[in-house]
Amino acid sequence: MINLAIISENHERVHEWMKIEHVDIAAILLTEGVDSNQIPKELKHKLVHKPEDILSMDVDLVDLCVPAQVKPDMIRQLYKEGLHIFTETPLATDANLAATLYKECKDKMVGLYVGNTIRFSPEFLEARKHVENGQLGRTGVNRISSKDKHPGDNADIFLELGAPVFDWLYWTFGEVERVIAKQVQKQRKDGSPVEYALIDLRHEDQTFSHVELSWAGSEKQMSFELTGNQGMLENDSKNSQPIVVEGAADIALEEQILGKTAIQRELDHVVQVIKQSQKPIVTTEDAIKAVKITDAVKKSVSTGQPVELKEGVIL
Amino acid sequence: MKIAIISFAHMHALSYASALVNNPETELAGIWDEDQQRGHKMAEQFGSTYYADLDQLLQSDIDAVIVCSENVNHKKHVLKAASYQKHILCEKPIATEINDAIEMINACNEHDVILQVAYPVRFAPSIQKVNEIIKAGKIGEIIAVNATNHGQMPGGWFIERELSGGGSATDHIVHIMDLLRWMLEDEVRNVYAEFDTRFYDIQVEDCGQVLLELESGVIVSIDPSWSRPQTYPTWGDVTMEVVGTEGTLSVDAFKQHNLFYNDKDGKVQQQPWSEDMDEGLVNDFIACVKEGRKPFITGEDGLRTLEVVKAAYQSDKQKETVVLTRHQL
Repeated sequence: MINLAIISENHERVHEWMKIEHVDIAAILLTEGVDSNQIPKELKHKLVHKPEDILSMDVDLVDLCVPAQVKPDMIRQLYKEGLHIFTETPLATDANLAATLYKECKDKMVGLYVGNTIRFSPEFLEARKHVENGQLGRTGVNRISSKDKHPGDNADIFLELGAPVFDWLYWTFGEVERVIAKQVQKQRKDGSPVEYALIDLRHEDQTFSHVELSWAGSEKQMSFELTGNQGMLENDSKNSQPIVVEGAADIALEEQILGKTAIQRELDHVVQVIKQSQKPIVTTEDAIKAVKITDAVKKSVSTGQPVELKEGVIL
Repeated sequence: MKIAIISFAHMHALSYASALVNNPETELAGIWDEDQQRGHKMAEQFGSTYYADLDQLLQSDIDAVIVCSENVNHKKHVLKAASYQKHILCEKPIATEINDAIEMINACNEHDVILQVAYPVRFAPSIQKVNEIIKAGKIGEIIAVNATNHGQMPGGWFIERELSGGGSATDHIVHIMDLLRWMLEDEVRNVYAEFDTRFYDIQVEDCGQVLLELESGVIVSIDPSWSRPQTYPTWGDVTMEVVGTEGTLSVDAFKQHNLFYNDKDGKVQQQPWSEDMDEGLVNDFIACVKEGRKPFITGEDGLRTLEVVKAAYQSDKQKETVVLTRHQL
């Protein structure tokens, strides 16, 4: 069994981990403002209040589910030889910081792993297989969209919505050569924030990837359209729901109706990586690269000009 | 009212001809086409007269012409029709060069003839509804538009640069640009674009991305790619996601169709059933001529959209954001 500590800004994460085999939840640290009443009764006694509490316990793995802005501080409080830390992409707010964290973890003999749920989503995995097998022929223009309701704080749309998408595009279509991006931030009449961004990536093989990031709507939605000279592949989460219910308000359907959701598949993988010393699907290099593309995108937004990258480094 | 068609090189001429034939107030009074065989065939199909000599057609008592020649030939046909004082509906893009467009607009003004540019999408009922919703402020302040005008690769003269002036960027950016200028009553401040030829072995670009900012700060992306595969159930699309502060609206101008699973031809096909936008365009042109009013879509609308296309090509070449130059008329 793996002894797990969860540091999270939402209680859903705890519920996800409860479904994972070979894991004992040893500690739960909820960030400020999260209602601990949502934690199942049988786990209430696992609640701790600060990272040091975790260090004094027999913990193999820490799942760090907090915004990128606070990750470096948190990670640095968890340096203990032999500990493994897992966190969703992005690892940090900029690529230099991400690389520094990796280096520090290596020096302190701490295992650091980055995840990306999209890499475990079956529709995205199938699509990647199609591209890899050459079923689309020479790839041409990709269109990908990620939408969610605005988180309502000072969250960074490029880090939170963008980085996972950039990571999947880089993983599937290779290095990014150039980016151009535009962003708008406004307020509704009621004062709530609206945010929207349009990004074009040009991969080194000259494939185009068009990315739409929206915090203007009310629900989570992802879609993609991949085209090549031998075909086109499209998917929209909104049109992929196998069950549609009208009325009967007490039926709550999960986001993904699957035996194992993408998050569960991802967490299973993390457990395997640590138990079996498997190579993680998202490598150190990948995790840093996702942040580098995000850095380039933000630079383009501020300059209004395209930003060139060479082997993932901003020129 | 007597109207003639100059060239059937552009396939839209077919639906314009049908609209003329279907309108009880108009007569398709003559057809000129450089391709004699095509000209004769069309004259027969639409019950009209083929003229081998364009001057002879223009000397006849026709009131107006619809120009559907190859893009580079729009200029000479518009200038000639204007010189004979005939009102003109010109297929888009107005021209392949900015100076040509300006010369055409000036010539039409001097000869006091109407010059309307064919942007039929404005006449799609769904697009008109979106225009109403936006102008009424129902989705708040517009902040962004994510648009596509995709197509299958049309072949023919569309992919011969010397006749078309360019590939998918020339063919497709202008439709979206025209809708945006009309709906948002705004102009383009700057453009970044990249194009490439990745789908077909052709001389012109077949795909790309355009990212631009309007003067008001609205951000826009336009995908003008000929990226629809051969198996796609229709020729292409016109879609826009319009993001406002109070709401987001998505429109798919060709969504109103029946889906036909056609075993005989081994295809799945969209069969549109909405009102024909080409007919709307032609009827509006006829009304303009009849009432002598300013056209709904002017030569200047054609010029402003062409300026965006040209800036996009320049940006692609320089790999830089290009600030738009608006030419004086």
